[in-house]
Amino acid sequence: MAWHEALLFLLSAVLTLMLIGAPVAFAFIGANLVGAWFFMGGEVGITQLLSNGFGALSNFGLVPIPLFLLMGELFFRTGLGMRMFNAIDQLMGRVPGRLSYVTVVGGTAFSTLSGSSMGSTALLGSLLVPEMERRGYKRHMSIGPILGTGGLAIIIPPSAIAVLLATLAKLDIGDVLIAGIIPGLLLATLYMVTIWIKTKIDPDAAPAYDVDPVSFSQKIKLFSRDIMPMLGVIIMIVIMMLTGFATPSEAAAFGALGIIGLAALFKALTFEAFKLSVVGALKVTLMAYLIVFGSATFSQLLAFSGASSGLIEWAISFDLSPLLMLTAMFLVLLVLGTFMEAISIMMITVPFFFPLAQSLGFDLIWFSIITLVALEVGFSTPPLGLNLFVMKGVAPPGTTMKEIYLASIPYILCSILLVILMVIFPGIVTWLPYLSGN
Amino acid sequence: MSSFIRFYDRLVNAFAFVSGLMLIWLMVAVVLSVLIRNFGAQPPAWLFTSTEYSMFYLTLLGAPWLVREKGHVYIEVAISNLPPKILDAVSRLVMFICAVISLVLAWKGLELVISNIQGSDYDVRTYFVPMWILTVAYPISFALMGIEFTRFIFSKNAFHSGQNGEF
Repeated sequence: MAWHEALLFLLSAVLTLMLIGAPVAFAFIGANLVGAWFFMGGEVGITQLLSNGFGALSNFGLVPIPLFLLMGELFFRTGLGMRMFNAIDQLMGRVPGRLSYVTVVGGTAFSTLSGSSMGSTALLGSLLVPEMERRGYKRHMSIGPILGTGGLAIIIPPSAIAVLLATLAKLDIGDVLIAGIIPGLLLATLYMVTIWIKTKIDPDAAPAYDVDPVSFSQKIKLFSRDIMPMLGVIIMIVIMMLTGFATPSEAAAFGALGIIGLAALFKALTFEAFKLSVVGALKVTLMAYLIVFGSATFSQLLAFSGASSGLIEWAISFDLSPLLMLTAMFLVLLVLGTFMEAISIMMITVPFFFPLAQSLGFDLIWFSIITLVALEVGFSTPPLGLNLFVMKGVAPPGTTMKEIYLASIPYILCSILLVILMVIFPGIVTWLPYLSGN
Repeated sequence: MSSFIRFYDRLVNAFAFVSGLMLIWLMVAVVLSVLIRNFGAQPPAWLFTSTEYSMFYLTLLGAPWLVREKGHVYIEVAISNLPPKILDAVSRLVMFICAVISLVLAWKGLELVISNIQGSDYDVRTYFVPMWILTVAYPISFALMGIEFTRFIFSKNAFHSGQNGEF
């Protein structure tokens, strides 16, 4: 079988199963079963599939995923998240467009810790959009920043998806996590500038309203009690990884323990909250790990059948400039992101894109951050981005898809600007991981 | 029959409970090993190995429960606008396909376990662990998933009803 036939065969098997609604993990496992039969010697291939799965799952590098998720769940279920959110809200004072900024700052902290872009879009959308509406904010000022924060969550550590990408691409997990810090902060700044420009152009979009004055000493108290400890956990994780004191798995374990400690300190750690957190983290972990189980064989099949090398050689044969190739890969990720979730996209594209990126001379850590941004942009890109529909589901009745589309565009442009900046100044991404000497 | 179903449901729940405990164990084991290391001692090797094996076991032990909870994520775009009757039929067809996939893997898993026992295979990391102790999770897990998917073929409550969590 020629490489393009093998490629077509494997991809159409996965996509058909996915599109008829098979659970993603089973779409991959089903395609693996058929593929293993054809390309790996019949029944022996299926046994090989099970052996591969064991190797893929019993990998210490995957430990941060459940622990980051546990951290996020605890943060949300114990009420620490809302505590932080409210404190940021009070500290903002009377800045025009204040609630939009609060959404970016609080939402970023929240979705970073919660690790799920769609979960946090749903929560923040249902929580903040009605409140902002009540204050007379126009919808683009409320919906846009919420859609934007998902993009930050995926690149700022602790990000479970970044861990998974690093695992699939066989990169140093710590490097990928650390590499996301500066681009993440830069993207947050771009969002803030966008809000500022919007409030300047149309002050009525976010009407000012009176808030109870908060004295300086109260502000210090709010910051040190309700923000600093939670922020401290994230900073601790980053420093542990940056200094090489701990591996990402170890940093994640201390992060989860840190949040448990904080929740206990705030007397918010009930048995119920703990149980719900473990169940929540377990659900996403099981779902993700079973997809990882399928991934080992899927990438092997792509290699065995010659599909990966064939496609990569074909792509290189066009002799396009690296920038054009990067644009093409970015667009593929964007299109896939409009109907698939992150893990599936990574599993399908990583076996092709990373070797291709390497042959083009790209730094793979840099390329992984570009990939993460592309994934998130895809989720919020009209007309089909998944987050847009999540937002439609939770936004106040009467919100049209057009309003949601228009609200998302400035924030998507910010992400694209970030990618352009990362292309022109790769140091934005690579400086920190190489500084840490990992 | 109903008491058998109750026993079966409890078994799936019990596996999920163990899976949850293993998730907590990941945190405890990793924290312990870092603490021991920083007290200048060498953490026992089983601590590290236990985390690797825990991830394997927790995935397989919890997966059948997740099927029942409809927690395995799927893509809705293509099927969400189908007329209810067709969606229902597609949903049951998908459950049939998933049940077949699971049962094939359960069967091949069982063969693998038998060959591991006959060949006296070991997983060689810090210890020599008989391979079958690990691979036995395959036939158990996939058989249970096969049963759970089969239940959705006949259940009034179709798998593709309600929202599934997206990652």
